[in-house]
Amino acid sequence: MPLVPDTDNDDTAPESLFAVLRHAVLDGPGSTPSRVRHVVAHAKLDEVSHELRGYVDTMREHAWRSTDEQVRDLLSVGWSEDQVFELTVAVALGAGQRRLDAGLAAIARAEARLADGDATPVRVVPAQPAATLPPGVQAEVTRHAAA
Amino acid sequence: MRLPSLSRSWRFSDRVKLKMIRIASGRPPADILKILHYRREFFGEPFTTWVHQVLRGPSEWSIGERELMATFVSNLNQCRFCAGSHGAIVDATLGPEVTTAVLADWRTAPLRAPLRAAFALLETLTLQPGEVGPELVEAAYAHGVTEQGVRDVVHVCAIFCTINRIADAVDFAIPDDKGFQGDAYQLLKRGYAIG
Repeated sequence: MPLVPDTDNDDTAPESLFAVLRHAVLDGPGSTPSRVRHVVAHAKLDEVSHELRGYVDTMREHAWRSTDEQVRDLLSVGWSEDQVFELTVAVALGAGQRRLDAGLAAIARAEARLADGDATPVRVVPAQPAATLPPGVQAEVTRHAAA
Repeated sequence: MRLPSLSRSWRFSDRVKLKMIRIASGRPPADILKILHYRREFFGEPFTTWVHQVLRGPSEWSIGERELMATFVSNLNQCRFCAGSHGAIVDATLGPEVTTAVLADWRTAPLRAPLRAAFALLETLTLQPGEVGPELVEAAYAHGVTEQGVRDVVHVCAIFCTINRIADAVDFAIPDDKGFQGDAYQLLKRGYAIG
């Protein structure tokens, strides 16, 4: 299960938006069984079919080394391009979720230590409004538009 | 691109949209756009909604700083497409010297202290997620980053550890500098959500 905090039903919170994405990719309609998408997302390599194992492992650990041949091999044993797409997205999402869960867990532990008086107190920094680009950015947009 | 059928299965309105992009830019749409519009309900729509909120929504980090984080994570993951795309946005916002300095060594780059603390967290979270402990979060707090600010950093990392893998597995074509700059302008102007 993902470590997603209670967001008080705020459907614009990043945690909520990630949960929507995760549901679409792993549980939504697809040409690959949902169970398979879950298995590759969590890199349960012992449950992954032999021909998929190398692809999942490469993508998870060092995707820049993935090759044309790896994709061709999957297609040649009967996976469709649509299925390879779904599996690719599922593995990638699993790698992203691993970072999200690790980061949020670290925050939770830091907050617990803070509550125990065992960590540095937080200094509040004002948030930047969403809709406004900083002046330097706006100037660059204008410059590019004029170019 | 390794899965060519993904370039041929868009809904009619998206085919028109991508055709217009091709006409306006004078070049084929980037592979990322083809992927995001392919069965958009499966990945493109929910993914870009998340990305837009994290990279363009309210935050104590400026847009340029969040894009710098995106570039840094993509570079750690050795994803040339994403590092180039988001590096071009950093070049246009914070200046190319910032990108160069951070990618050479974030520890010595001319960054404000909260941002340097964010990079320490990003590096470990990207390369060794199992090694991330509360100390890195507390170090960020000590430099003035709020809990929400750290959450934003974690989400940037998660986003790019996802899309970097897709970009490399599908083998996105790498644009030239002019292409990256044109895409950067569009992403600054319009954001990420494909709606």
